[in-house]
Amino acid sequence: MDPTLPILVIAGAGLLLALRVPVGFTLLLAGACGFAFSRGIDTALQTLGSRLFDIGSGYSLSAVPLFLLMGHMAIASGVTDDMFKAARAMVGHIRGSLVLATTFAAVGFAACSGSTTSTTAIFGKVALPEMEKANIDRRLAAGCIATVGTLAGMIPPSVVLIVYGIIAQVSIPRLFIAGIIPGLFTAVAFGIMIYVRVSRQPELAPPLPPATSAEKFSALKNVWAAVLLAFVVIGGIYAGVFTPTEAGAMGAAGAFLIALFRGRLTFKVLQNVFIETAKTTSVIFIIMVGALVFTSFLAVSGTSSAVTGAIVGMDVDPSVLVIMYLLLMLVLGLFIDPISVMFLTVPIFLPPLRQLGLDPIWIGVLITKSLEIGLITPPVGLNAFVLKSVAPDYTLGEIYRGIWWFLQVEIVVLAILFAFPILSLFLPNLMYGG
Amino acid sequence: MLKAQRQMEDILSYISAVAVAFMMVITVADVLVRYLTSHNVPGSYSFVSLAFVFVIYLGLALAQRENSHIAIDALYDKFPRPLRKTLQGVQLLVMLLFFAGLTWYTGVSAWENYSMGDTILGAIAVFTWPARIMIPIGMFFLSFRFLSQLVELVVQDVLIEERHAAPLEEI
Repeated sequence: MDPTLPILVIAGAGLLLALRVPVGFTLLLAGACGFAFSRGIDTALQTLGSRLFDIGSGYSLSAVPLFLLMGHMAIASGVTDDMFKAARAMVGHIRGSLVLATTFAAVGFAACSGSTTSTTAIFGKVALPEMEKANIDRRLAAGCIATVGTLAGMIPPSVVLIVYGIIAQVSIPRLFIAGIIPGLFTAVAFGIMIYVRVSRQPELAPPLPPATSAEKFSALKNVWAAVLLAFVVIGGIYAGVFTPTEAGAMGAAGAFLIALFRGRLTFKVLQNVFIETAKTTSVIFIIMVGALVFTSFLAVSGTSSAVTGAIVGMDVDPSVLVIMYLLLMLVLGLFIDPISVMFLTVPIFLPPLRQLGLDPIWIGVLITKSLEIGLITPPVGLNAFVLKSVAPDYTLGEIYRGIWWFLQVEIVVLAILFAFPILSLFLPNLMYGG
Repeated sequence: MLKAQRQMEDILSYISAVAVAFMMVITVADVLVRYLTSHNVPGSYSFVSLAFVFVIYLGLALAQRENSHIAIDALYDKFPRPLRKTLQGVQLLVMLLFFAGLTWYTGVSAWENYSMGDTILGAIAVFTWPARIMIPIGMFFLSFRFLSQLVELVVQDVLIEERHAAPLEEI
């Protein structure tokens, strides 16, 4: 294979990306040019034409907009406020008070929403003002909200896991189940860090007066519907009652009913929910179309197999390769958004790792955790920017300084998930067999 | 002209929003019918898949208008304005030509599928052309948006990011 053309195409794509050409358009154009120069214009057009339609008409991919819809609908229904109030009633009296409450409420909301940035945005609106009123340290509050939003990337139903499952061609239900322990483990690790920090510096987060039993009951009463919804969606996938697409649709319909019965739905709200879902879907999937064309070119040009051969032929332990891959993800995650990183790297680097016998479910969990870290690290810490957009009086410096403690926890959790694959594989192996 | 273009883009986004709602409704109906009667809604998988094509392509032009497509700002933002203007002009011109070409090719392809009566086979045969035609429509309005942004850049000296700061994409 002559490597000149693939190198030129990859370099050209890198240049276009650096010049702020949208990721999806860059990949589409670079892939088309690659096909045109190697196979002729006709092949390029045929490949483009078929990919443009095939990606849209893939039934399993339609789970993504439906889970996005479920998240938007859950936000419209106001369940976030209720989850936060319930968590505050349950843990508000202990050290760390509202910071812990926010963390555990985010776990609950993550089970209804697949979007990390939506989770951060909504908690920035719901929890941050309450934390300010309770004199929580600004940096701790901001860091907590920017970070706990990333839990939605791991706790099912997660859009990141769905996209990984589609690219890697592994079972999405299995991935969903695999994300449960790492997601909860991360939340518990955050909780421990918050408790220890606040124990050492109580002024960071003064405790609230304990809630009465009546207050606790009242708070819990308001979240049962959302808890039931999450249980039905995740349980339905696990039990084989629903495909992921069906679970997304049922979840969206359930969230719609919750919003309807709470009187939160107006035509304007509903219109906004559907338009935002459609717009986000369009933005994500044009990247997917582009990545498909681009990686098809890499495959037919022999680049993918050459990379696979080179990696498999390296005389190093497979776990070292995983570490190298994760480091690459972390570095790329500093500059590029997580979904694009995944589209660009998974088709190239996952096949050799699979060939070396590594479990793609475990790799998927590690990749997701790396991408979560990318969401909170500068210069392109997307969740920090999202929080800044809903809380403009916070500086990015304050937010990043607040994130620093959570980032350390994330790195420790990533190391533990790497060292103990059983944490990711125990539940899927138990439920579906090894 | 520009007002009509905006209105068309808005209309396309409404259609794609309706397509999302349709995907939800038909999937829920299929699940309920399956568990209540042990039958399926005929063609539900095909309808969902085809509606998904509407959602992907009809929102492209609106996302371009609102500067919502995911891009990497880290380096570009540090360039001086004259350089950004030049780069953006070249970028818009290249994209305009590329997507105009795609509009033509996917339009011809959709016409051929319509002429052949291409269908997705299943419990009922569902024609694919209503979805296929959405690809050139989406591409056409995306190309048109590139053109108007290029005109704004050259004639009015307005960069895309000066009209619409890039919103934070959802992930």
